Parts: sequence; structure tokens; C-alpha cells
Amino acid sequence: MSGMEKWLVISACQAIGLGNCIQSLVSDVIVTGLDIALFNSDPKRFGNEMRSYSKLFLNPGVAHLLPPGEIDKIPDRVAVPAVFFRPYHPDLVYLECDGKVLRGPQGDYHSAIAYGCFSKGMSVSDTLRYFNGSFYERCGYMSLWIPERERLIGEMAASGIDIADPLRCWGRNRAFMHSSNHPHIHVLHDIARELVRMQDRTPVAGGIIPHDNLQLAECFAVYPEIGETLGIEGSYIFKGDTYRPVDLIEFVTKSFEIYGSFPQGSIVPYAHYKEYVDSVSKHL
Amino acid sequence: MTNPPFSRGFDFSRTDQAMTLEGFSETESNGRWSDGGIARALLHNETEWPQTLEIEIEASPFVPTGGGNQSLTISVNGAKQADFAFGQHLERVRLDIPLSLDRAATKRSLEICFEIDNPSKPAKFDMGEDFRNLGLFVHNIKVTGHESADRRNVTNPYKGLPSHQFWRRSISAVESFRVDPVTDPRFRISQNARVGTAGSCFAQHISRRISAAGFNYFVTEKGEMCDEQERAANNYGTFSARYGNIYTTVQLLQLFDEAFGTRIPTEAAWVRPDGRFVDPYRQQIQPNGFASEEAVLADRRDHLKAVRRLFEDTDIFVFTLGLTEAWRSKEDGSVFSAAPGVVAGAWDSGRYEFINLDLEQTYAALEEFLGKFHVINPNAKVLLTVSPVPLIATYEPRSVLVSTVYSKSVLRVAAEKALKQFDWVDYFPSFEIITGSSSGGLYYEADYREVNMRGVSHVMRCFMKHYIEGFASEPADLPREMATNDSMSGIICDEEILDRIRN
Repeated sequence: MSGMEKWLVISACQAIGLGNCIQSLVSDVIVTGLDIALFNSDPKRFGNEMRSYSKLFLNPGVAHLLPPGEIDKIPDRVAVPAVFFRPYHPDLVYLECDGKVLRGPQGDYHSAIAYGCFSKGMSVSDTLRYFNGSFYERCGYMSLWIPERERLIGEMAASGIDIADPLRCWGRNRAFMHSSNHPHIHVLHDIARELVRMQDRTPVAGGIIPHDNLQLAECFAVYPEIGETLGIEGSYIFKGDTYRPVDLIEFVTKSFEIYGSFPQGSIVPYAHYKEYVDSVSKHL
Repeated sequence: MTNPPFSRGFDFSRTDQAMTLEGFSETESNGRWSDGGIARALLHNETEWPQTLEIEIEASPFVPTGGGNQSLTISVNGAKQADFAFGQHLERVRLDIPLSLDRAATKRSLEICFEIDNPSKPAKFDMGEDFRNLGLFVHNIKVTGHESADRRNVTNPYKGLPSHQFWRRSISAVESFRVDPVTDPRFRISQNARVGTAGSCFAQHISRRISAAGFNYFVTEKGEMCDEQERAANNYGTFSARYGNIYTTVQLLQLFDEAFGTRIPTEAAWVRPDGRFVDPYRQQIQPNGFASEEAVLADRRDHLKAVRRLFEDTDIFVFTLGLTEAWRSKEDGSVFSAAPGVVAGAWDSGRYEFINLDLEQTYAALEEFLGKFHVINPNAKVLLTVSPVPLIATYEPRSVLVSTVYSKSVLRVAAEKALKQFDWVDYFPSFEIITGSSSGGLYYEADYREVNMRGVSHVMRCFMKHYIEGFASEPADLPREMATNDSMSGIICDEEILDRIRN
């Protein structure tokens, strides 16, 4: 194996999966996936290794988090935006408290409806009543597919990655996202295939699709009414940090318990989500 | 030698152009309004686009007084091309987009995306009761360039046909859940219109969804004397009247004739093994059966009255054609809802026979029914569908799959003949939505027979979109606050989560 060409993938949570997928498609290259947090946990060690790689697949969204000068150590770079896609999970938002991302029963993921109801002093049972199709419709939850599809295709196209055709197939049988920022592994595999082709190589055909490591993280429910409009079967079952299914009542109840344990008004939507959460709250 | 010029126009005031639109409003006399923050036009070409081309867009912006300026970003095939800003309301402008395509892109449809920065509702500016989110009124788009030498002078009768006539554009090019084969409905159903239903099992889904959506599902046999549980158990409200499944066109015709007194069947009631009585023409309508032959007849009299009222007063009659196989009385030609001896009665080959209706028999009964129905209710419309549910069994000595395809083929052609003969009859392609290859068989339950909720939902999305008056043809506008212009590509999960997924 020594002497083989080495490629590096640096991204956020999709780094390992994408790295594994690229690796599964090239036999004469060693591919390593490295998430930005791991890099920054030991910048000296990883910085020293940078020059051993001949190619860097880099998520531009995390580039600014690398120590200065590190990126330049690998001149051959390919920009690979992370897959972020909200139509299956339009209720998913991020919250923060004292500038830190707030963890709830679904890890970093929170429900805009649950948060909005809690902020307005509603009870859990009153909150549960808002989880229905007509309310989602009013909030615009059913209208995200086309704009998000356009954005994602455009964003990838800007990096030379054509996902217009694969995207049509990704959601044929089930949602292709575990959450708005965690794609299923077959999505990353298709993107990896395109990336390999962009390097003027022929992807190895017939190999194994790597395991879906993002399934180990929290998986947000695709609400049935949302799933129905997107041609898939949804449910109100959330996956937490284990495989124990969590239903909507437990999710909302535990969310309320956590929100209630902080001083009033100290929990706010993550900056990118403020207008989004406000937009949902005004319908409550 | 210079290649000959290429020029292709797309008129937004017409509905027959070779383009697929999203985020645009209905056609107006000289174009269409974008409706919402994003609108998209997929321009199709039978041959190849030139590699170097110019897109000219004739348009007028919506810039109401007090609404601020309007700005617009145009992307083609996912890549941003130009920004435009407008300050004058409805000023006619020409937006020029020069473009180079790579070889592969010349073979695909051109995808033009309009991102409108400031769409607004005219109603908000006292400009009438118009609640659309207007941004840009597109009159037409012209694509010009120079045709490649090997593609010039190509012409054929398919040139200029609308997108829905091409598989690649209307089926391959969209996500399977967005495939929509309905093109030109002959009528729309208003909120108050009485909608009656009959047919095979699949028609029950339509009944339920129409009812759940708040439309006037017309039920003339409600079972007011029963409580809710009893009503459901005894099939009140399953269809507009308590006829149970009407699988064949012959069954439909004989019911109509009996209801209007032109036919009196010979057989009145059959006995079940448990001694209870059933109606031979709707054997499973009452699970507990009837106490006597008289009770069967009394209930049938009420039923026929309800059937009469249905046919006389319904505004829309939705009929789902289900089967061609049936069991018939040799004595009077009556067709039964199940073979004698299965639920009740006794098999007697001297009195009953199996029939598998052919196209002529199926259509003759349908044609006769439609003609008679139109006489008693000349303003009513009929919507025909073919059930995508396969036969549960065939009496033909061959595979049930082969019999299914025969049956459905005959029914589909019969519906087509009715569509051609009567301009107040329409055909709704629920069969095609469920069985089409784009669905990949995913709209069936594990038994490959029952249609699952995803399939029913797809059918009903298309039905509501095209046939229901005032139903938004696209999902509600995306509130501006919900739109994301950047991808949040930099979101980083908590360290504990990253630890979990690092393997």
C-alpha cells in the first residue's frame, strides 16, 4: 500500500461517509475522510500529514475553520459542498443558549413547532395538536421541495458536480436524508462517483456501498403528512442516540423539560434559523 | 462555412409549448406571471441545442408603488448567469443571457431558474383581489444560436409538441412522486358539486379522500337509522349508495335499469350456510345478512330508491371500472357480485355460467348506461377510471396475471371509447399513475395487489390539482423567511455526535 497516491476529504459530519464512498470507487488511491473537529483537536499532527496527500476534497463551508495555511499544503483541491436539504424535515431547527448549540432529545435537532409553542407558554398536549398537515401547509412546510432542489443542484453545479439526474432517484423509495444535514450513504456514494469521474477516472463498478455511518447519529422523523406529499411513508418516530424509537409525545415532552431547565428567554434560534422560527411561530 | 442560424421561441401565453413550468401562474393573454420566490422553465428541444447560444427573455417586472424595487437572478442549468434590477412597474424589458453549453448539455432540456427577490401580492397594494406573489411577467423566451452542421434541417411531426407527449421530458425528467399524466381535464369540480362514486374497491379510496377534503361527497343511502359503527360495518357511505363493489359495466347497467324500473331480476334472495339471507346482487353488503327474503326485498326497494336519487341528482359521477370476469344467470342474464355458492346460494351449472366480457360486451354496457344516465341527468359529468388493483382470482384456466392484464386492457379501451364518444365523459389516469413504470411497483402493498397509501396519495394529488376548482395547483408559496439562499454547508454537529459517526 505504501507509495500509493493519497486523497484527503475534509468536511463536517459528511467527511467520513464521503471519504469511504470515494474509497469504494477507486482501487489505486488511499482515501481518508477527516472531519473538521477532529482536525482541530490535534492540528499539529494533522497539519504535518497534509503534504502526504495529493488531492483535497474540501467542503468550502468549513474551510475557514482550518488553521491558516493548511489548505495551501495541498494544491490540487476540489470543492465539495455538504449536502443540506430540508424538504423531508422542514420542522427541524437549531437552537442555542449562551452562544452554544443546545442539545435536546434529538441531539442538535429541535422542532420549530415545539420550540415556538414552548416560547408561547403552551402545554405539551396543546403543542401536539399543531403537528398536522394543514398546519404544516400554513407554515410552508410542503413547499420546500422545488426551491431546495434547485438550490442543491445549483450549489453542486457551481462546483462542477452534476446531481440533477441522481437526485431524481434518491427519494424514490424513502427519504434520502436522515435530517436536514445528514444524507443517506447512497447520496454520498452518487456524489463520490461524480467526483471520481471529475478526476478523469472511471469509478470501480459493482463494489460495495459503505455503511451508513450517519445513521448512528440522531435521525429526525419525516412527519407522515410531509412524507405523503413527497411520495414516501413518514412517521412520528424519531431515532435518538440509540435505536430505541422515540415517539412524538416523548420527543415534545423531553424537549419541554430541557427548555424549562434554562432561564426564560435564554434559548434562541440559531442565527440562520431565526426568521424561519419566527415565521412558524406567527401561525401558532 | 457558417452553420445555419438556430432559433426557437417559447410563447408563455400558450399552453402547447415544449416547456415544463414550475412556479408560474396560469396563462394570460400575453404571458404568465411568476408566482412566488422561484420560478422555473424547462425548455425542450427535439434535436440538440447549439453549443453557443443566446437566451432572450421578454418580460415585465412587478414593481408596485411602495413595494420597493424588484430584482432577479437568472440561472441556467443550475449555474447563475445574471442579476437584473427593475424600478419601473410593468416596463417591458429584454433580458439577454449569452450561454455556452458543454456537449452533454446540448442534448438535455434547458433549465432556466428565476429567483425573484421581492415577490408581492397585488392585493397588498390595493391592486385588486389578487393574492398571488407576483415578480416577473414573462411574455416569451427565444433561444438563438447556430445549429451544428450535423443537426441542421432535422424536422419531424413531433416537433413543437408539448412536453407531456414525450416520455423523457414528462416522466424521466421529474421525480417519480411528481409524475402527473393528467393534461387537459374536461371539467372541474366545484366545492358544492355533488360527487357520486361507484365501482370497484379502488373507487372507495376516491370516496374517502373526496369526503375528507371537505367536498360534497354525495351519499343518498346514509343509514340514518344506524349508529356510526353500524353504518360503517354495514357499508353505508362506502359508496354513494349501498351497492357494494360494482365490478363490471354490465353490473352497472343492470343496476341502473332495475332502479328505473326497466328490469326486474328473477332471483330475489339467496340463503347462506348459516341460514341468513343475502341480496344476490350485493352479497356482502350486510355482514350479518338478512333475516328473511322479505327483509332482503324491502332493503333492496330502499336501495333502488337511493340509487335513483343518486343518478338523478349527482353533478359528477365517478365510476371505476374493475373487472371483466363475472357470473351470470342463464335465465335472465343477471350478473352477480360473487359466484353462486361462494357467499350464499348454491352452484348449479344448469342455471349459472362464467363469463369473461370482451371489449364489445364491456363497451356496449357502458355505452348504454352512459346514454340512459345522460337522458335522466343531462348536466351531469362522468369521470371514468380503471382500477389498478389486480384480479384476486381468475376462473380462466391460465395465470391470474395474464387474466389481469386482459381485463384491465379491455376496461382501459372501453374507457377510451367512451371518452371519444361523449364530450361530458372524462378519463382520469389513476391506473397509469399506480401501474406506470415510473412508480417502480412501489405503490403496491407487499401482496403486489392492494394499493398503498403512497399510491392513493399520488393519485389524489393529481386528482385534486386538476379536477377541483379553486384547489391550488402547486403547494402554497414558500414564505420568504423559509427560503434558504445558502446551504448551511458549514453546520457542524456536536462533538459527541461526531464521535459516534467516526467509524
